[in-house]
Amino acid sequence: MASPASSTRRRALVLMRDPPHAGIRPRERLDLILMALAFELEVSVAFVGAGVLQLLPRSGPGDPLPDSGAALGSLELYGVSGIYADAEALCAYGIEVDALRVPATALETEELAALLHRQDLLL
Amino acid sequence: MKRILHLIHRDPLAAGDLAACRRVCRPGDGVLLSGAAVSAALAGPNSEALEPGITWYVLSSDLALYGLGARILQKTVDSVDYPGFVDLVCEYDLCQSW
Repeated sequence: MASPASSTRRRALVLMRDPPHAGIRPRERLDLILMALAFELEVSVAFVGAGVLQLLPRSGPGDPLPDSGAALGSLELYGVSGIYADAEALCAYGIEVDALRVPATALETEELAALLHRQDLLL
Repeated sequence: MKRILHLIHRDPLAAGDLAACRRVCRPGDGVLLSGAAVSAALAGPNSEALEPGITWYVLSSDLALYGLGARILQKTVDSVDYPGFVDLVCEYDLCQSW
């Protein structure tokens, strides 16, 4: 979680909008998060729209594709300071917050807009 | 509150970018339409009302590229060229590519 020095670090938000298996995009966005952390930005991640589907635990033996979303579980470990999920999208897909594989904070649209507007960088 | 320049380049009818952007767009923000998104800037029976308080821009060279250069734009849309695009990026606090 955020270190004591976090107030002096630039705040960056990465929006995750793609559903899982959307080609290499979800994986590229994950790379972007790790890269931003390497630059010592204070990174938050918001899953919006179909992006919230990335937060669902998936798959069984029948899943033909590697589960890139498994790496999302380690975001906190890498020092991501906030993980947020779009409450409207969660509701639209009928997903409960406690069903997510990562502990995410659900944000209403107004809170999501405020989150975007207080960043130093949008990625 | 910081001002965000939202960049939209995919077809608003095919991709949900414009709708997603509108949810978090707030007065003071700008939206720049380029590429296939320029169609959203056109006036016409299907044109959606553009929110007041938000400044709408369209990239003029992309309008021409899509054969829409001679069409009438919605009254509230400003046409910008590439140098104008660069100026806008400098003018706003943040940029969000959708």
